[in-house]
Amino acid sequence: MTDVTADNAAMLLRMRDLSIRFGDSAQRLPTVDRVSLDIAPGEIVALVGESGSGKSLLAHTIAGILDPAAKLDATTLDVAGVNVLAEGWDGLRGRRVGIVFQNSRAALNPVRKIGQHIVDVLRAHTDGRRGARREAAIQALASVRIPDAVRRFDAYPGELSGGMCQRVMLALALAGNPSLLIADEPTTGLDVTTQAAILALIVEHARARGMATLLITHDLELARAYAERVVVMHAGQIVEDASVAALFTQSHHPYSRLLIGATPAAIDHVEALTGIPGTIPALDTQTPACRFADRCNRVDERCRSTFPMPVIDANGHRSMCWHPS
Amino acid sequence: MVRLIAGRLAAAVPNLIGVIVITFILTHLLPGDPAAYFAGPSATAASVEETRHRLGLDHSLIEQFALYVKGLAQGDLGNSLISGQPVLADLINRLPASFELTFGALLLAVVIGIPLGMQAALHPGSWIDRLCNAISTLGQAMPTFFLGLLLVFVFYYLLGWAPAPLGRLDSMFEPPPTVTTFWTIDSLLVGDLSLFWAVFSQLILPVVTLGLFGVGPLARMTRASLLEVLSSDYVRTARAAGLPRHQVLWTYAFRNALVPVLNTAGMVFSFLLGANVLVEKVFGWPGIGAYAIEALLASDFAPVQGFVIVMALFYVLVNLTIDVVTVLVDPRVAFDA
Amino acid sequence: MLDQASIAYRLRAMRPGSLIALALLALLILVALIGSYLVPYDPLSPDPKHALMPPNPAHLFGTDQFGRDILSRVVVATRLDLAIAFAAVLVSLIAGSVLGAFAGWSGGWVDRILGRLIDTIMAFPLFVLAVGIAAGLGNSISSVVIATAIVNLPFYARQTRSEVNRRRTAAYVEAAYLSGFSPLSIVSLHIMPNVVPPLMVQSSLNMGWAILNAAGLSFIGLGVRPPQAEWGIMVSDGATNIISGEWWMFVFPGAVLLIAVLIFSLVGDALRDILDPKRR
Repeated sequence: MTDVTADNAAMLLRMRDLSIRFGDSAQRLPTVDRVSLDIAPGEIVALVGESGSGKSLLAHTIAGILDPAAKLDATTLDVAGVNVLAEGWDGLRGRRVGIVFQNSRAALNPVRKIGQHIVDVLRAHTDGRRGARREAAIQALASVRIPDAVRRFDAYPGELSGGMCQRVMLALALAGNPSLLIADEPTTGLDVTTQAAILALIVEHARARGMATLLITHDLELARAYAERVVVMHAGQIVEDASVAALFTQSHHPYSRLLIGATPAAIDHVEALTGIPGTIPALDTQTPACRFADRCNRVDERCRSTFPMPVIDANGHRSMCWHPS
Repeated sequence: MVRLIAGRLAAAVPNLIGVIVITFILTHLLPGDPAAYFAGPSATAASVEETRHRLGLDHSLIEQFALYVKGLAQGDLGNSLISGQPVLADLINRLPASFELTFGALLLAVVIGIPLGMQAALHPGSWIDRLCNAISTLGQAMPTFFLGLLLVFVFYYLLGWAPAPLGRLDSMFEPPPTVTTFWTIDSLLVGDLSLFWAVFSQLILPVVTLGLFGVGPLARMTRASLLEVLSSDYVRTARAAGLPRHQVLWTYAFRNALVPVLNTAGMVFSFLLGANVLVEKVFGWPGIGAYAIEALLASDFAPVQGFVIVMALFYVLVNLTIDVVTVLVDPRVAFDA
Repeated sequence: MLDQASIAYRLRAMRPGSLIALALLALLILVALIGSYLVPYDPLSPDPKHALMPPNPAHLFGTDQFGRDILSRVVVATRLDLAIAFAAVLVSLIAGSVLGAFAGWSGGWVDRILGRLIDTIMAFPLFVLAVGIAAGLGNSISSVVIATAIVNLPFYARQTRSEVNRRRTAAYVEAAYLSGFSPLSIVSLHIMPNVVPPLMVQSSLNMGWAILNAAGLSFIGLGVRPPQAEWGIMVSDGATNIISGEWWMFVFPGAVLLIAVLIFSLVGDALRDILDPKRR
């Protein structure tokens, strides 16, 4: 496998040929198929794809909370300089990698005050007196723009709105001062204004701390608005990886093109909106090597039998297609 | 918070009323003539009539009910034919024995059942999970009186480890001075270790017999509740945030799994109060269950009535306590209401 | 929805343990029905010459203090215990579902009053209540049946009430109502069939509990009188003989009692698998 960037040593995330498999039989195809991905410190990367494309699995893997029933398999997986395949994720969770989930109210302990929740995380990752931690927790709440943080310290998640819960989640994820923040569909279920506010907050913190961000979303709009680089996933395979500008002006992979075509804001008029034919393929003996084959209008026999070799141009724009545009 | 507790108290009142009414109905279902029973087998027609009048049985049912409630309020539960004493006095005399047994059994069920259920939840599919399931199924199906007799046979008759199942204390010993009425605690309080051991060894088999019944439901509920909580989103967040394993388990998982377990403990307590009767018979335990059964078989009904009321009232109190504890443990209740 | 095909599929997909449980249940019922015709000895007639014999080839379970063959008595007791439990469960099933359906359909104060009644029954430790009822109704088998039925009633009432209540506002029910179907026919034709599967699972578990209840009452001396053969009363007889070492008198009836209750418990699990395999 060729390296995707020149300077490997400083990479925050180095992932090569990562596959995630469920079920016992060695015959079953992996849900996530030989994915390779790098993230540099401070980079804001969007991971985009339809539901079921394996984005969350990937997110959970990097964060160290992959379902124990899943089998992980990779040539390389280094997170914040640690070879997690050999050493595991102890010491990384919350400390080097933070993660924010969707549906945040369900993701907060309903019987614990939100301030106390943050103090718990602080206690796990920092030293100091109890009083200092309480202060720090209040600061953390204030830094995610929760009004009246001192009083809200004692609130329970059930008393807060969805947007506020999301802010608390963000504060929790940032409490350990991680180098990489994963935001897994952080704005699903929120109204548009709150969505914008949350994402702006994430980017603001990322810039202030020099923190890399992996933004996972099915919404290309958001990717375009907030990320620097976009990685497109389909059915567990990465199909394209480019800077935002490059993707939107000259994407190579047919799937990326179709995704852009289906995004209202990216095109001029509504008549030009297209859908994407077919659905994500089932994983069985009939699945083609390039899993987009059955939905693609440029498909040929080679696509079905062999996964395309990655093509990388001078800017690091990577695409996996036998028939790029 | 106080309002919630008051609300729970208020909700318990209809139950209390219901208990009193139903007990009244039960004892007035007696076939035959209660006056004749109470007057005794050698009574003449005149003395039966006199008994009837004295017991107020010649009044209308409503008036009898009023008298009954008045009597209850004054603590008058009638007199026992066998002992000649007021039923209330007899019950108070015999309650500690039943309490010590029931609480001991509940303690045993909790101490075995909850950790068993936890381990089963933490290692699903393992041998401990299967053991948990087997013990639960067996515990539910096992007739309490059969288990008691089996234990007596094995540990007393065959092995000679346990003392004779003849009650709370071997006749060689004197009971300890009364402080808590629990002889185990009271004997420790005066520092008499041989007395403590005598009391304890009489207590073990009945407590195990009664308690085993409760292990099953507690283990099952702990397992189910904890499994559900362990796969919840907020436990996932706690793990992802790097919280230490024991904190995730206890502060985040166990505390949230607790409420259904508390409710199950209440239910288990109810079973124990019922099965108490059987265990007391097997082990010759001088508690209120044995008292009620003796009376019942001798057609002495006032003690039976008193026993049913006391047990039911006690159970309502226990449920109330659990409701209150639930409110304290789970703040969601406060703003869900 | 359950149809022939899905039931057949689920039967094939059952765990082997469930099949064994069902087979054992069939065996148990068989013993109850024809056992008394096949026993080697008369369960009731005393035979003092052979009293208190330990298990031997002539008397596989030994004999009791009157010389009666314990195996025969245990087999014959199967019919009595199962009959008592079955009668009790049937009565509580019918009474409970009718009450529950009525409460669930009517709503309002009817629901509240019936709910209170059910709550009050459940406010008693159930065995205590059974003792109280059996005491009030007199010392006979029918009072044991009624006591057990009343004590079991709340389960059925609650379940039926919640199912009926849940479906009362469903669109298809409203449509039927507006088309002129009477509430009775709606409840019995449209709603009850959906309620039946969980009730059946519940009934199997309740059978086990009813057997324990009846045996417990007999053990204390309520209901069944000597010389009738019944598991609880046999264990009670055997209890006095433990200290003289005649263990077979209480062990065999007790063990069979335990096994019968276990069978019903496992059958309940098996039924749950057939009727709703998602909920294991």
